[in-house]
Amino acid sequence: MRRRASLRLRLTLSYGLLFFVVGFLLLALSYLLLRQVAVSNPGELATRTARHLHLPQTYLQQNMPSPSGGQQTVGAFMRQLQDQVLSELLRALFGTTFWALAIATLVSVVAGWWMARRMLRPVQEISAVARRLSASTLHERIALKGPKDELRELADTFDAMLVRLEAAFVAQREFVSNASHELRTPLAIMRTELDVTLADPETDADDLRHMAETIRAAIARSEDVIDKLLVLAESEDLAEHAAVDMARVVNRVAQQHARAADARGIRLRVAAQPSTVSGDDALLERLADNLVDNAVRYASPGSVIHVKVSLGPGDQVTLRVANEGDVISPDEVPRLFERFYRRGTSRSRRTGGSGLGLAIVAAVAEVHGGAASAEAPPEGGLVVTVTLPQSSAPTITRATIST
Amino acid sequence: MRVLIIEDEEALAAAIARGLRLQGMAVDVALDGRGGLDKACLNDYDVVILDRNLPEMHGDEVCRRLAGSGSTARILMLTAAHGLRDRVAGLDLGADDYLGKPFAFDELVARVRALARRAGPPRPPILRRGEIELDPATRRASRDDCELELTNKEFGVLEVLLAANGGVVSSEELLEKVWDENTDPFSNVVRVTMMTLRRKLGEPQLIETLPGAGYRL
Repeated sequence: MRRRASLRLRLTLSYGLLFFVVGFLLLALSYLLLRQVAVSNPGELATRTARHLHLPQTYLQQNMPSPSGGQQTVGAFMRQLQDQVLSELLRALFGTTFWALAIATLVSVVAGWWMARRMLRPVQEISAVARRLSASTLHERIALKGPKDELRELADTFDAMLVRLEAAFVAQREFVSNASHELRTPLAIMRTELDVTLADPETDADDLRHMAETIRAAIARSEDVIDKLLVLAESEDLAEHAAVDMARVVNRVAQQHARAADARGIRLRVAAQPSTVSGDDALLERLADNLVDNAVRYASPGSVIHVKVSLGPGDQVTLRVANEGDVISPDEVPRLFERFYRRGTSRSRRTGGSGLGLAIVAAVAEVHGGAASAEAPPEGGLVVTVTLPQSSAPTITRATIST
Repeated sequence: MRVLIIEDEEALAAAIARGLRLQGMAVDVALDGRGGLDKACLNDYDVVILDRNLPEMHGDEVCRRLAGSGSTARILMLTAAHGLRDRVAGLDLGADDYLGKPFAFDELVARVRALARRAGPPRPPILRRGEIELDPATRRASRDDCELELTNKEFGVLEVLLAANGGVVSSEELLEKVWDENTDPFSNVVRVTMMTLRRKLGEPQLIETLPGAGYRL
């Protein structure tokens, strides 16, 4: 508040001072010019006046009785009169114009004070909005009206920043709410299971076994969610830039999933061409692991999963994982990469997904300067393609927080 | 008392259902929003326990439709999102109560009971009629201060008869309130339970049978 008033005061004083100085200089200049006319050329005006009045030289040479006594020529009297009039004029000019200048300066200060307030009003509006803003009122905008000047530009820039901030806040809030839901649900299951089993007076060994199994499943789920949240947090920034052979990573991952796939009668067919990517070995393995895990989870029993690592197009390494399965509508495909998105929740909960698998794939791809995309063939199943820049030209970009 | 649980976490839904059944409530379970709404519209529940994050139809939408449908069922929102904003939003949508996960099961039971009391005409926490007294919270019933040993279903039937406060209760209504959806509507469970309840209540007979209409206490 004080700072704004002081800017207004400074502006007003500057106006006033400027006006006074310029006015004073102007007055001083005209005074000096007038004086010069009077002093440097004595008798000039009187001579000119005589000429205009057609007074002959002989008349000017005539003697006349002086008002102050004695004799003097008419010309001399006229010059004397001229000097007197001039000095009277100059004195009057000096006195009255000084007062006029003082009053005008005062008027300009008052006008300046008013003008400064008018000019500074948008600043006041902007700072009022900025002061009011908090996480819960981020939807407010300044929406400054008026001419498209610098202040309007400032307000518009501020508004644009608010739009971005709000979007980031909403995404963050949604993420926290989803994460807390994912973490609390297993806790709720454990707590309820325990409460109910302990409250039942007829609990037998079978009930206890059932309780223990339910709780173990809930703990496994909590571990999975926490683990994946940590991977997501890690993939916001890339610390390591090692040369990683994606073919080796994919073969390793495929081996780890071979047994789970076998149990469901699914075959994993890997075709991997040696291709180096610069990045974090552990994160890239998680990427491949999530893709294969997802494929095994959702593939129809008895089908074949194709995992392919190839070079190109361009300076890129392409990892492609394709599985057969349920038909997914094309509208749903982009949502698959959203954090905590699940398809037909209750069904996939049974398959144990946390809804973070593909979100991690997208985040890891992005932090390595690549991208992840998916397509759903009309006959069913899902094909996920991840492109990563080849090691020779690693372009590392930071992942954004937005989901 | 009849309760519907709409919760997509099977393990949680099963545990809550088991716990509430131990308390003598008739419990149905729906695993998604749409199925839950269908059940809620089809049957006459006292309380609906509603998760918010549901597949097929979001819990908020279920709540809005249920509250707008003129159903007398009381809605208890049960969800992991329990910030102030979420609670206010939930209550504004027409929920009657809000409980955050994880919760103490005793609290859930107490809240369900409190809500059931408010479903339909207001009724006191302890039901009394003549010499009969019934406390749903402690699950005790007595006649002339003489404790009655009742099964869950008998207790439920007695509770409904007492809550009717002298009104006639049809056997369909009893079936609806005390038994869950897995009961065959043409079975004679109501008649059998009524018989054993009458025997336990002793003489003189308090429950009247009005042929073609139902029962009255």
